[in-house]
Amino acid sequence: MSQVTANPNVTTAAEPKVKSASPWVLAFRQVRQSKLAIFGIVMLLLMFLICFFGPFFSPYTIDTLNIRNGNKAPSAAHWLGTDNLGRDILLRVMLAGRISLLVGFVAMMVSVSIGSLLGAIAGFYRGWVDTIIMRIIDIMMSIPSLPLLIILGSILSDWKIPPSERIYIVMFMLGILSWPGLARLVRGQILSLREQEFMQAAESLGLRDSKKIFRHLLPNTIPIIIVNATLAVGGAILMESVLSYLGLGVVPPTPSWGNMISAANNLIDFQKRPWLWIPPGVCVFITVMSFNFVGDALRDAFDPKSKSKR
Amino acid sequence: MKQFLIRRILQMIPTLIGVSIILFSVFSMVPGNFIDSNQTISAERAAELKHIHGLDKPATERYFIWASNALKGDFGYSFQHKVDVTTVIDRYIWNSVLIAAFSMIFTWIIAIFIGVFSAVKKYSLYDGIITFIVFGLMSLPSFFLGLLAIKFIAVDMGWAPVGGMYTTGSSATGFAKVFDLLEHMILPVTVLTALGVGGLTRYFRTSMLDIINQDYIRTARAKGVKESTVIFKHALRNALIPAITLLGFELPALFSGAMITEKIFNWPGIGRVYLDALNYRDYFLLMGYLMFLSFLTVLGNLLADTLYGLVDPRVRLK
Repeated sequence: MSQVTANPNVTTAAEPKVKSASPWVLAFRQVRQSKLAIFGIVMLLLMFLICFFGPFFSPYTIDTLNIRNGNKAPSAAHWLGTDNLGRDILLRVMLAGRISLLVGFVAMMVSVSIGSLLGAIAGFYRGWVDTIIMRIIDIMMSIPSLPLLIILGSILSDWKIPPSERIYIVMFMLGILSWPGLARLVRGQILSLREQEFMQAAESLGLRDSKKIFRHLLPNTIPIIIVNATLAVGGAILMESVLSYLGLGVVPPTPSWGNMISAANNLIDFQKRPWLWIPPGVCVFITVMSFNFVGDALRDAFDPKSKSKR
Repeated sequence: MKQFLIRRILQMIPTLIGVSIILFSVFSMVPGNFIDSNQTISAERAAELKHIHGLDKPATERYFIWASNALKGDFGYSFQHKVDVTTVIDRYIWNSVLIAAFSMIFTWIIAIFIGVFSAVKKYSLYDGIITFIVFGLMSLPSFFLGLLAIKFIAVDMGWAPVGGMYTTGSSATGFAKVFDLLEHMILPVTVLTALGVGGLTRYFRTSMLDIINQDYIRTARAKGVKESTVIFKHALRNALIPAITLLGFELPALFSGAMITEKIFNWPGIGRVYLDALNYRDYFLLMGYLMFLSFLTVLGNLLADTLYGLVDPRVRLK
């Protein structure tokens, strides 16, 4: 925690009267004040609990097909109705939620690890290392990501990758294309942090570069990273749903919210059986919105400028 | 200023070369091509066609051929449309620009008004509701919003056409044709506006909040200036300055075509053509379009930075 309090951005954020509280406590207090953030956290917890534990309480299994019972509207037995193979939609939405949430988290982890590492290296070493990394970032930021993801998705289809392995590739694909923004932010912070006194102290102690970066510089950029990570999960879930809707992301039989919504591509299902595609769409909506609420509240909480306005 | 522009334009060159190399290597990973997917031609004819279009050469050689042609403004031949790539882009892009321009105008007007009012009445019930709606719109997948709009507004209510650009088989001309077009634009423009208004509203709210807390606003109020004048003349004008740079970032969005929205509403724009081209493995078209977009993005960034330097005297461009 000592390195964190050394960050001038965070310490100046603390008004003199509350000097004793750590920046983390302050940030948490701030987040707790935001009703929307509380709403977001509660919705996310519910979504996780329902998706990961809900299927254990479902009387149905995903493998029992009952075509005679297919395409039934919502009822007491099937709260959200059934699909064309007679599978329970509620159960499928929950299982799809596991996949979609997992895709969001892994994609975020990939993007955050690459982004913060490369950003830190660029900011710390400067010179030609920085130039090369920044050039790569410039190039990646100039390529529109959705069209590129669509091509990569169709390559996966052409290579006939089995659906079970495909989800992992999709996660990495989403992560690898979204790190440049974070890398730029982290680099900017590290550039100013490395000129400060505590880094001179680290220098005079003769610490290794890796220790300086991982123990002293990166921990000071954690606020940016956390905000970015929260918003990145939502973004990745949104992207995954678009790709899967086009049939280029997670493909059946693995259910995901996106590929469940693609049921709407069938005209009859679209017009007459909204229970097939509206529930997964609402789930994407609620989840992404909750991540945005929490991310926004965190950004306000960590941002010294916005706090002084209160 | 001149130095800044020259340096930035020179920097664009390696970036665009890098983009083209990445894109070309991605495309060379795709197995098959347009000729392979056509099963009606004989093997000899296929080989001949491949030779004509240079598809039998190794990828590196193909890249240099493509790049040298691209420098001359020739982005290759679209197999699917049977014309040059530039012609295809020119034919469809204006349909995309049409809905993009309309939705951009609406987005900016709505975002400025909502953003300003939620900043003025910050933390009020109005601000809370607006924030909630704005975040909701930012979190909706574009295709889901499009589907909902078609289902409830077009199909169930019948208030707007389901899709397309003109009514099929309609031979209307003149004023009736324009009206038909406008009617078909309702849903796509609404959806695009709804998707875009969120981020911009947040932006205006934040920048208005910054300004309203400035001393000169307090001075204006203290000397008895009307509140509406304070907000719209003293505050909003200054809040708009940083927003001008956003116009630079909007440049690619204006021409890129909303891929998903155009597909959902069957709008004959460049975004939908791109998605279709994927099914036909029409590489030159895909490649040409992506290069065009990247070029616009790079140009938009330059424009944003330049505008920022022009409108804000505190920023000095070096």
